[in-house]
Amino acid sequence: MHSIRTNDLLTVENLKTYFYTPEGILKAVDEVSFSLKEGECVCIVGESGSGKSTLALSILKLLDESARIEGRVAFNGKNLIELSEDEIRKIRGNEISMIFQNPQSSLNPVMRVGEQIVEQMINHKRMDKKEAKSKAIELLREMGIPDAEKRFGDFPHQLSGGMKQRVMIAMALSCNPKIIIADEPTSALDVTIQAQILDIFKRLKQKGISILFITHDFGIVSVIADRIVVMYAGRVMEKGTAVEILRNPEHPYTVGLLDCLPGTSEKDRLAYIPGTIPSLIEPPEGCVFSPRCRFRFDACSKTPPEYPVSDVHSVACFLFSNEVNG
Amino acid sequence: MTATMRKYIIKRLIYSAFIAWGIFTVTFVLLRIGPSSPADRYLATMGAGKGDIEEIITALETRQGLDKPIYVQYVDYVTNLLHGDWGWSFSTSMPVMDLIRIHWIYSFQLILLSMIFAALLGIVIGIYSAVNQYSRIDYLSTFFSFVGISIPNFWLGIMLILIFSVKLGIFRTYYDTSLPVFSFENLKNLVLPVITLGTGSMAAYTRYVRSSTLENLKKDFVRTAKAKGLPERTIIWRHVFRNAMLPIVTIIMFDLSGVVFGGAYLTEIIFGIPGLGQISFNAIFAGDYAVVVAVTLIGAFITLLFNLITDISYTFLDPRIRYE
Repeated sequence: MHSIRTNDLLTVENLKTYFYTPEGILKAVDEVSFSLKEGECVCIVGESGSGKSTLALSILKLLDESARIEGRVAFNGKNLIELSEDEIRKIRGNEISMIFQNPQSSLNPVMRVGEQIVEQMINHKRMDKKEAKSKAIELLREMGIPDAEKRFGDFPHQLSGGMKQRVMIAMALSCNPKIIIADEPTSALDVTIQAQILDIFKRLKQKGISILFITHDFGIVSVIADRIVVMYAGRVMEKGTAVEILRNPEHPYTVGLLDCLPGTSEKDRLAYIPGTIPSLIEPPEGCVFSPRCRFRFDACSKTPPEYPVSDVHSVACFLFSNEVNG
Repeated sequence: MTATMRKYIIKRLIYSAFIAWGIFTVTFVLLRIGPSSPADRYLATMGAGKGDIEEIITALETRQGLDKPIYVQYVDYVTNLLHGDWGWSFSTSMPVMDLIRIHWIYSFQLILLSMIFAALLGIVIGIYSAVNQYSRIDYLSTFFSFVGISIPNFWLGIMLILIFSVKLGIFRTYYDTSLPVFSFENLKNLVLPVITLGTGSMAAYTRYVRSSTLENLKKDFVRTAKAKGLPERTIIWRHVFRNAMLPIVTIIMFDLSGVVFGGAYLTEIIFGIPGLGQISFNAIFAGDYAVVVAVTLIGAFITLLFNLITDISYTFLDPRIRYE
């Protein structure tokens, strides 16, 4: 086991999240490892069904009882996976916050948004109501919400989707967390609003907050990511710095995903990866991507380990094994 | 209260008046076209055998206006009602209004306590059941609510009397009217009737609350609350409870009219509680139509009133609802 570098704030090692269903064991997250440093943004990228949201929920143990989580999520010298419900509760929303995809349904419809922000601070920081309220209004203002005092008393349905997501971010920030996990926070929003929300995330990064950003959109990745983890069928395909992966993608899956971005010239046809994501209950033998891979060969019937491409870039694909390349 | 809200309430009150008028009309017509003439019944009640019956009937019909065409009688009745004259109950020899003034409290205490019993237990058990889905307690409560919904309450009442009064002697077999209404002894008096009347409702509420809570436990905002690090108790009572209660309020209010019209009638008769159900039951057999009309109208008013209260309460319970 390699030692944890000092500036790694969160280290995920061999994380497995299996769901025990009547149809069999669903391996939503399988042997995933990566780390998050202070003040950086790591993007988890993949198609829907790749297990990226399950991964995010696993870190804070927000899944129901049908999920079994194994492995290590090291944070502050603790393995979050082994913490009791009471212990992890003190970390949730306090040291690690989460923002969800759909701001429309993520806020309680019968509670004023202000109350929803305040309750977290009262719960974790034992603040009194007045103090928490003024902090909440300040946060709303910081999020670019006009008339913050008035909005504090609004109900969610009185706010637009973008405003609701700003409220969610304000809520996530209220206890000064070190890490924010954002699960596709802009997917449900208009493109112009998306850009504004991404700006907020960039500002958070500058303030030294680490961000784990889940997305399927390489456009967003290129704007915000310092490092990238590409996931497919619950496994990591490729990981490395954003610069390396965007300029020099190696894994056939990453190459395929990047090819799917619409080009600018008119004669370009929209590219796609043939086939669909496999069943996670009975995944293909060996490399999970091999059934859809153009380059598959004999070795792919085994599970590929991670091969380093450079100091800051590794790929789980036999094309990059030394034996194959001679 | 906003101006639109006031307008809405006034509009609803006018609708309610129309509905009450409709109910009154149907009740009135049904009773008038019934097989027996009110005068016959009156005579039977008075035990009149002396003198010329035909003559007495004619005299009586003239005095009570029963010889007039039905539409004139109808107009007279409505006019009197609007002037606060609810008619004369000949079977008890007093004005209907006085009769109701004496007896309403017995029905009211029974219905109120039964609803509190049913709502409190139904909500608590339902939520507990949902939060501990598929636990032993959940199975037990699901089973017993099934039983509770299935048992007719007159049968339950008789069984309760048989077990707790006749065999065990814990409670009286009948309602003791000599006790003051607001006394501890009277509360004991009401235990069996309240269980009889409340069990069916409680069982139904348990089911509804359970399924509504389960539905809301899966909502995204509950996941948000969990991700905020709130304790489970706070999540359930602050976030899930209020949302889960929204449909339950309607169900309880609808059920209330069933309790007022159906359950309370039978329960009062079984336990001999001298409430409105009892007097209207006696009045039907005595052909004392003024009482029947009055009790029916009161029941209708209560139902309409509670529907109105339900709709208004939604503007407070669910901020998304506004009446234009």
